[in-house]
Parts: sequence; C-alpha cells; structure tokens
Amino acid sequence: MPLAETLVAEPIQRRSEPSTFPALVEQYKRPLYALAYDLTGNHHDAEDLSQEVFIKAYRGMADFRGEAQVYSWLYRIAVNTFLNKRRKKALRFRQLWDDFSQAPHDAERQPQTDQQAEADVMRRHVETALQKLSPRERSAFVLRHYQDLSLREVADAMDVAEGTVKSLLFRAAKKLRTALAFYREDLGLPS
Amino acid sequence: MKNDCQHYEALIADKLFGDLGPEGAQRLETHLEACPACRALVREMETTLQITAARTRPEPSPAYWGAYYERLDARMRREERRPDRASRLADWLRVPERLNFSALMLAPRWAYQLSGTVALLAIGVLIGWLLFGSASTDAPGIAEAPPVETPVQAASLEARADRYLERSKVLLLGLVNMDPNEQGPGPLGLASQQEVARELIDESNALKTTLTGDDERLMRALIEDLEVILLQIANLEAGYDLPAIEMVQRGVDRRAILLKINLTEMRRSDAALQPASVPVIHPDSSTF
Ligand SMILES: [Zn+2]
Repeated sequence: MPLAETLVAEPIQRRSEPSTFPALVEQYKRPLYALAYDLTGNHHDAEDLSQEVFIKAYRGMADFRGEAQVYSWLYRIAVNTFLNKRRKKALRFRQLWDDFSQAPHDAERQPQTDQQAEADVMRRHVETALQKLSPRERSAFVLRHYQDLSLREVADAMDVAEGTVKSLLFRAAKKLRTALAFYREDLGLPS
Repeated sequence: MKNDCQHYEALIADKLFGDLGPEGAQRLETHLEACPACRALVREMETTLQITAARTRPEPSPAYWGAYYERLDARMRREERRPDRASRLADWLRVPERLNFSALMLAPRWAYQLSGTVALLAIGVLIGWLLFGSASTDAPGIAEAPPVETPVQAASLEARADRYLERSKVLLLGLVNMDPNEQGPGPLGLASQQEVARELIDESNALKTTLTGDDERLMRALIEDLEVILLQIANLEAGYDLPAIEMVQRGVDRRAILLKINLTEMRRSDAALQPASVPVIHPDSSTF
C-alpha cells in the first residue's frame, strides 16, 4: 500500500480532547482566561477565576458525564463559580481604580501607535460598560456574544431556560446601548 | 403601546444575537414597521453590539502563559496544605512498576509526527506487550487476572482496582490509535481487544459491587463510564466496521475517559502512597 494512503487515514486517530490534567490545562487555559477576563473585567480576577475552574474540574471530574463537550463543562463551572462568588468590595474598588488610573494589566508598556492607543481606549470604554451589567446579564452576554456559545449552550451553562437567556441578553444590550451612547455619537452612528 | 412592546423583547434578542427564525422575523418585522420606538431601539442596539464586537482583549505575555501551569500547581498544593508533596506535575509522570506510562500517554503526540505506520507499529508492540504480557518477563502478565468469582480481599482490592484502570487505559489507547484500514492478525487485532474488553466488563461488575465506600464515588462513576465504552467494544461486529470503531473512538473522546482514568489514578496514588515511595520522573523532564 502506498504511503500516501496510510497518511490519508490519519485524521481519525487524532483525538481532540486532552487525556491528562496538564494537557487539559494547556488546551483550555487561553479560552478560559478569556472568558474569565470578560466576566470579571480585570487580569487579576481572570487569573484567579480561571485557576479556580481548573481546580474544580480536577476535583469534580466524576461529575463530568460525557453528555457535553469538555469545554462546555468547563464553561459551566466558570459561570457558576463567577455567579456564586460574592465579589468583595475591595475587588470592585480595584476594578474601578484600574479604570481610572489606566493601570495597564498588559505586562509590558510599549510605545503605542495611534491605532493601538485608540483600540485601548475603546477596550476600556467597552469593559467599563460591561461592568454596568448585572453578573447574570454579563454572563449571558459574554457567553453568547464573545464566546460564541449557542443559546442552548448558554442556557445549559447558566442552568436557566432559553427564554431567561433571551431576556438577560435583551437587558444587557439595552444597558450597553445606554452606557455606550456617547460612543455612538462620537462615531456619528445612529443614537 | 409600551405593554405590547415588551412582548417583542425575546424576538429582538433573537434578532440581535442571530437566533431569529423566519416565522419570528416576520412577526418582529410587522411590529417594527408599526413602532418607531422599537425600530430606533433595535438600530441603536445593533450599533452598540458592533462596537462591543470590535473590542480586543489584552493578551498576556508568553511568559505569563509559560508559567500558568506552575502557578496553578502551586496553588493546588497550597490549598491542599500538602507542602511536602512532590510537584503534582511530576505525579502525572509517575512510573508504574513495569513501564513508564507517561511515554505511552504521550505516544499519540509523537505518533502524529512520525509516519503513521511506523508509529502505530511501535505503539502496537508496546500495547500488545502490556495487554498480554511477554514470555521474556517474569512479572505477572496483566491478562492473568484472577477469576472474577474469587472473593475480593480488602488487601488486594486496591491493587485490583489499579490493574483494572491500567488495563482499561491500555485497551483504550490501543483503540483510539487504531486504524481500521490497517488491521491485521496479531496481538492488536480487534478480536483480542474484544476479549480483553469482556474480561474488563466482568471486572467492572465485581469492582462496582465491592467499592461501595463514599470516597470511592469517583471510581464508581469512572467504572460506569468505562462500562459503556467496554460494552461497545465487546459488541463491535467482526470485520473491522469502520463507522462503529469511529463511534467508539468518539465516545472515548467525548467522555474524556482517558483524562478521567489519569485523574483517578493520580488521586488513588495520592491517597495510598507515602510521598517517599512515589517514583517520579525528575520534574525537568516534565515540561510540556
Ligand atoms: Zn414597540
């Protein structure tokens, strides 16, 4: 049999899910950090929350029954952890302080081009607006809008009905519209 | 009328987030044509979502990602108040009595980098040796499990559960790396795998009825997961039915069975072994 044919058969051997804990962390640390960042709005809490998810996953592997993909199971843990966590006032204060002082969570401060500076300003505006949503509204919005989960998956991750997700999404979009009204005006967009 | 508009909130959310079906689109369109307030609201929300979609996240540095697992590992050890333990990272690479399993677990990765045939041949030899034992070793072959009817002694139960996990892992590794087009006679043949699967099903039943403790919840859950897969393997039609084998391979993947086995083994070794007696590979060799 020619070699090419054996190579064509290869993809079925490729496994998409990790089989060790370090491999699990390696595969999901970036998406989970991104989700945690969107939920918490700052680097420090994103690190904290994403680590907590992995620790819970490690301890609760028995609860993973295989009906869902590993990533949606991890997302579910992340959202539950986020929603159940009583955010301490000190943390909230630090978020606000970050917003005002423009302290960069980006590790290195390099000279920015105008375009980068503009993107940075926009990011801060959007993230400040996201902080005005309730934790549940933010969870629904982030999962659907930024993490691209389906409505069904968002409902599963949050343990609510799809109708509830829709109403959370509506409220989120409405609040963001108000919070970012000045931005739409700046850009000459309908407001 | 304001009250009426509220009935369209779900449809507006559907429209904004791309979940609107044709029937809902029709209903919403009819309302928007008649209601300037909702029309303006939807337009503004759409613009808002465009703005939020254009936002970029700050990306942590490569150094941050490089040390992520170490920080996580340190935190886990801190929270478990077991500062004397060797690094958990090293635990993952602990060496069982007969063979460095970590090499086996990593096998698929390097397998992809080699030509498929050569790699599979190498894995096949390894797995065949592990499953069926070898004439050249005086260690008891894994296949020589005690008959299921034997009463399970408390002392041997741990060892028996460990061996069950190890054999299951080897079987599944062989299966997920199996290319039905390349099947031939030999220790890796499907018939042999099915025989092992049937033995393991018997063993599943025996272990499930014996491991009743509260702290064995994880183990029981894993056995239940494994049973589903083992039954599928045992029931595969002879003649290397490609879709059926792929279905089993996906089942292993979807249920993250290999991850669970590794986690369970890791926890069992945590519970059973003294720190000093855990053979570990030097952490230096454990970089990912
Ligand atoms: Zn209206």
